Amino acid sequence: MAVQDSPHVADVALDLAPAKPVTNTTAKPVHRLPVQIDWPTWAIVTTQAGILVGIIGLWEAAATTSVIDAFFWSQPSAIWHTLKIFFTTGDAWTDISFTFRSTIFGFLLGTAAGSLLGLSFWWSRNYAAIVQPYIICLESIPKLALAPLIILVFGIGLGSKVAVATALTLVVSTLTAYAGVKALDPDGEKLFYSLGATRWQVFRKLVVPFCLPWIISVLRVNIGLALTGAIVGEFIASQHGLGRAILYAGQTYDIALVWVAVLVLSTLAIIMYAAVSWLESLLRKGTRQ
Amino acid sequence: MSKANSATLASASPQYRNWLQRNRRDQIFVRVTQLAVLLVLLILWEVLPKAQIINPLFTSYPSMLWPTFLELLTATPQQASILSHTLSTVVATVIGFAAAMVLGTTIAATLWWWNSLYKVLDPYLVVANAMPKTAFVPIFYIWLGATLSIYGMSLAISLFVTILMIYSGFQSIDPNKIKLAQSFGASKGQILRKVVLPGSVPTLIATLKVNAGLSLVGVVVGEFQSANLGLGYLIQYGSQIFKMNIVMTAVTILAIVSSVMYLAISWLEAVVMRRR
Amino acid sequence: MLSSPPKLYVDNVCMTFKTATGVFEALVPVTLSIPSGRFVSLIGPSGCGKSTIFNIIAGLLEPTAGKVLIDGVDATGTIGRVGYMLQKDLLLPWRSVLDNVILGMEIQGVPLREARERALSLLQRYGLSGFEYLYPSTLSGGMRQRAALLRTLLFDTDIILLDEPFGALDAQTKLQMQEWLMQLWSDFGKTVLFVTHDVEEAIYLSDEVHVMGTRPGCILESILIMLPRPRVRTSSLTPEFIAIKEHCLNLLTASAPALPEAA
Repeated sequence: MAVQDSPHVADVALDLAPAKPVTNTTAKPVHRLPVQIDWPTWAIVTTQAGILVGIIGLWEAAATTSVIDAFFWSQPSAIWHTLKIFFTTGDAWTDISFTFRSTIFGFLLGTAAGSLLGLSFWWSRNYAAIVQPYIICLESIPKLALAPLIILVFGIGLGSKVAVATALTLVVSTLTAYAGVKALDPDGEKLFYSLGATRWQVFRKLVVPFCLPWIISVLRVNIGLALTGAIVGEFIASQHGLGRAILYAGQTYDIALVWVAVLVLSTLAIIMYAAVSWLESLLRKGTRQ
Repeated sequence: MSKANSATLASASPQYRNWLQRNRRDQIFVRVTQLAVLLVLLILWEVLPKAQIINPLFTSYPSMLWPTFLELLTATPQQASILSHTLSTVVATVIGFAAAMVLGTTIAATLWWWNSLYKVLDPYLVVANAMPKTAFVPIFYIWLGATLSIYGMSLAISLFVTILMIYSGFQSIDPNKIKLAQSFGASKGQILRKVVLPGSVPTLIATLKVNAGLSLVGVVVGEFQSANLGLGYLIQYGSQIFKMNIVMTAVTILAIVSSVMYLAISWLEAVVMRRR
Repeated sequence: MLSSPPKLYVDNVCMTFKTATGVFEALVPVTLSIPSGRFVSLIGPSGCGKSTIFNIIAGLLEPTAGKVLIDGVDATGTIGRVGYMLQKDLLLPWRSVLDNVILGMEIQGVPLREARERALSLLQRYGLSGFEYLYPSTLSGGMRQRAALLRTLLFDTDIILLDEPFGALDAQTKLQMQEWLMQLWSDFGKTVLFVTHDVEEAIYLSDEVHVMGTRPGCILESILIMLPRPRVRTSSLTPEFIAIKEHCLNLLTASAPALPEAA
């Protein structure tokens, strides 16, 4: 389990020790390289599971014995009960679908439009120089602060949530794709032109594939941003969605329902995150970066 | 090619003067166009609502920003001047991201120190990072009350990113440098203090940049929900009573605040990087 | 010679750049006349304008004055007339070796299948068989350089420009690559213009060597290399070879600017 080269280093230290003439001036402390023993996988997995079970068990026990106030914190058994109700007689699927659609539409729209905008800067340096400060300006405004405004303009339906999610993802994608454009090797362009390529050919065969890793690298960030946008949009004004469910439950002090909605939302977030990560690795393999 | 540095100076040559002039003209052209675009946007924002082409109810006017600001200095919601709203937001943001930096770095160092602990906690960290932290605003409000919940959100939103970013920064330190230190007989603590931490300064600054923005977002979203002070509160309040003047003024101040924070961190970055 | 025009004729080409610190004369009138099928080298100190000449011949740079004639036809400022291999191999990491090699044909609109067929036989014949479907990141420096050279060759122009193609290779690989290049050259009969820093490499490979000087860039002397072909490694030990090498080195040392230069 130990690192391969550690005994080697230790040996050297030991070999040197007797060879050194024994002088009383500066005796350097000689000690072995500290070797850290990594736990075996089964121990790690057991501990991981143990932490989860422990927290749930303690929480349940503390709530039933009134060590913590079950009204404020709720308890696992009540959450489980509410979860079943939420999925059988509640709005679970409507809410999930609403949040999911807002997120995905915003993610796709923002990423696609932003990437195209970023790539478009390759076509003209002057155009890029003129537009860039505005993009950076837009980047510096916390876009979520505009959420109430966007809701006012787009209404309380799905459109406004998509708009908030798009606003959050668009700028990130633009700046990242533009970073790719700026990293382009001018000699690569030279090669293409020496082969008689047109500007459009250079764009299609060099600029786009070169910038693809940049565009892909931002997907995972964007799916998170899009979800945040959708949730905050729902907080401000909405009739559906997991964000609204959390807010509503919080306002009525139905803590178990808050937990359920947070749990479902987190599961949704993780599934989307994993899906995008998988997509990213797939694309990365495809682009050989 | 070393065209530039082996340039033969011909400062008096007419071509050179010509070139300098053209270069300056190009730069001026870009700057002027940038300003012109800004001006056009402002004018459109002023004129279109006035001409009733877009609904002024949604957009207010740029000419109203300054008067609204002055008005908000004295007569404001919650008897607080706009300056105290701004201060409240800034303080919550700074506290949140400073706490996230300190706590995050400490946790990252612990995980670096004890690899098995990292392996145990890894899935929890990834999950926590992927969760939308803003969803916790209502529950934070219930647990922590109006003021603390905002600090809590400010911290929570940037903590997990901090841990993951700094930990991966620690991981990316050249292992040969660590080997070098080990060959000098350095202890683990010495390696952390003398090799890993100083080598991670660029990562720390990159994290700081991300966090300042995240914490500000956390604070504003928190204020939407649960505060009666702060720029987020002003925005939410203004849009509820359809006073776009207030919303736009608050958003403008927010943009300025976030730009100033960004500039401050960039300045810090420049100072630190020059020393290296 | 008089009846048919030279393959490539660089006619009094000058180049001045305007930089932040002034006007810089990269090239004073340079004239080169290269018959078909010749192997011609340019050697000179860095900054002597070798790459500038190449960029002008490839049409990537408009000369301040002068013309480039290919087969007697004005080709100044037109791209796609010559194969140009830049210093870096510039293989696209997202394409397999095969698809990198056909880039030129692809841009010229040759159908992909046809281009691939043509490239495959070439790759197999010239030491890249088994590498066709690998990606450049898995290749060694020598192999990458081979792929880049074949890409240039497959662009199917009579003239190819090679800008220090072996500059970054280790000594052993470099020798192998020189033999490989000689093989290619005798098989295809292209007109080759070759830039290098290495005097011995230039003499060993070329029919003629042009020694360049700097500030401003110009051709100091053109030397015909009459050594018999095919050449072998030991050719470099013959008195004739050594005499030419000595002459070139003298030219280069003499043209080098005195070190502490007045600003």
